[in-house]
Amino acid sequence: MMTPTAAISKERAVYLKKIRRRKVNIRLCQVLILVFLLALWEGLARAGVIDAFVMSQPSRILKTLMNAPNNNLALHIGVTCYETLIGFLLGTGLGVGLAVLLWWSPFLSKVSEPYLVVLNSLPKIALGPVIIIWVGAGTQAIIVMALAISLIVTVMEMLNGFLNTDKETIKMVRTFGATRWQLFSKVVFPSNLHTLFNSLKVNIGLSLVGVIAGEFLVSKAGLGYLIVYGGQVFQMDLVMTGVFILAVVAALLYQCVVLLEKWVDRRLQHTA
Amino acid sequence: MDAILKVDRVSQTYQARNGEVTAIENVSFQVNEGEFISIVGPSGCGKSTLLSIIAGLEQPTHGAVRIEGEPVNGISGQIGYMLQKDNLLDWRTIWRNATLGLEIRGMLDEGSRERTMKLLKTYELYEFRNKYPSQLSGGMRQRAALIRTLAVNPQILLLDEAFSALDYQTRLTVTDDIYRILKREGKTTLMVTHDIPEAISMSDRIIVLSARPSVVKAVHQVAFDQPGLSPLQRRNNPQFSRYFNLIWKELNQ
Repeated sequence: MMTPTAAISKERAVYLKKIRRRKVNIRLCQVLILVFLLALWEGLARAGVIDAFVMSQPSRILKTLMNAPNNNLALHIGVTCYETLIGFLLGTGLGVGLAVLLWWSPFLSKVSEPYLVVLNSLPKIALGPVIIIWVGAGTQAIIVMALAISLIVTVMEMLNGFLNTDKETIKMVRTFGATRWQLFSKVVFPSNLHTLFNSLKVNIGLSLVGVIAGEFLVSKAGLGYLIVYGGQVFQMDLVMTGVFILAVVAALLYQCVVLLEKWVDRRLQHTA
Repeated sequence: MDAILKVDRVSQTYQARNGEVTAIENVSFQVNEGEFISIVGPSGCGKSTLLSIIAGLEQPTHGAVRIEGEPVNGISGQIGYMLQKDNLLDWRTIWRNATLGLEIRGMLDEGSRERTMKLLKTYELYEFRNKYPSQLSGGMRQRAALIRTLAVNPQILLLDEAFSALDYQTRLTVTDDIYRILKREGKTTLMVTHDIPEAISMSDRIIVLSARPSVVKAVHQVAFDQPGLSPLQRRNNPQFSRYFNLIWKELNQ
């Protein structure tokens, strides 16, 4: 436990100041790098060293952003977020479900091993054309793509976590005569919450990859569509704006998972 | 006194791809009600295998275990098992950890809740019932694990190297603590350990097993001049080293 704030020793005050200063310094450097790069980009473009038509430039991106009502930015963002979330939820849900099934039956798990290994290393984007033909060109194809990319990784990660649950703890629960379901719900699953959240963090990124790849192949809206469209009509401002928004969306979605994890952790007081 | 637990010519052979290993061979003994018995033996001699069989976690290849005449078949409700680590679940409060066994066995009712509450009160964990395991000391955690085991009201307690994960200082106090609790609750106890002093300080009888395949090598009645000594007091008794030397020699033959 921390010492109460009332009586802080001189050494402690120095120490606290030191870590605070370090934190500020790190933030400052991070911001400065961004500002410097943006300023460099803008400056070089204005000076004519780089061609703003090909490279775009920060002020033009800003202008495109300000022009949002006219180029349907909100719609594109909404569509991409929607597809990503659906793909993410389906991929995670199905993945965890399959992992539970494979944990339940070690035989099934052994049988499926080579299939999982092959499917895991297969670039799922290669399935794009197949998916489009099977489920139809449209939102559904994009969602299936996001699902395909995150599914196998989730299965493998979760199964691995389940199988590595502390053997002694399992023995303890078994001595009380726990059924396999009790074993899972009372020990195996709760002790793998951190695995689940790691999986969620990876999946949110992977789903976004799937969605963008899907939108490149087949779409009428979405950030992927915007980027491809911008490239086709040679509007680099639109492409760069799309990429910029994508970065922000990715960061926000990731933060959502982090916040959810913190919230669950606090609910459970999982302090170990 | 009646034998509450009978181990009758139990053998266990493990099959593996590269051969078979006999862990224990033809082990027989009896435990009377209220007795504290220790099983000592060289490491890897199959002591834990024996406990697993008694608890019903494993089926023996030959022989049988009987509790009050009833053969053990599967996990027995009469038995409480304590492992090396406390294995408290980090995400549950002490109260929810203490009632885990009851919850699993579907025995969580007014009566069992009250009994657990009383155990927590008697053994000074009541104020900590809403804390989490990470907020407790090693000794308190081990006590909480014991209460989890006692809450289901087992007749026989199996201690599987239950103190060996603790540091020496904590270990001596926890041993004293747990001994006191077990005597007070009148539990029959069977402890497996590789620590000879620990066995002498707690037991009424000590069973010495040989190296693999384990057979019963000797059984010692541990009787100190003064009855009712605590484990710590026994360690200070002059008779202590006599028992130690005796068993030490037997194990190293």
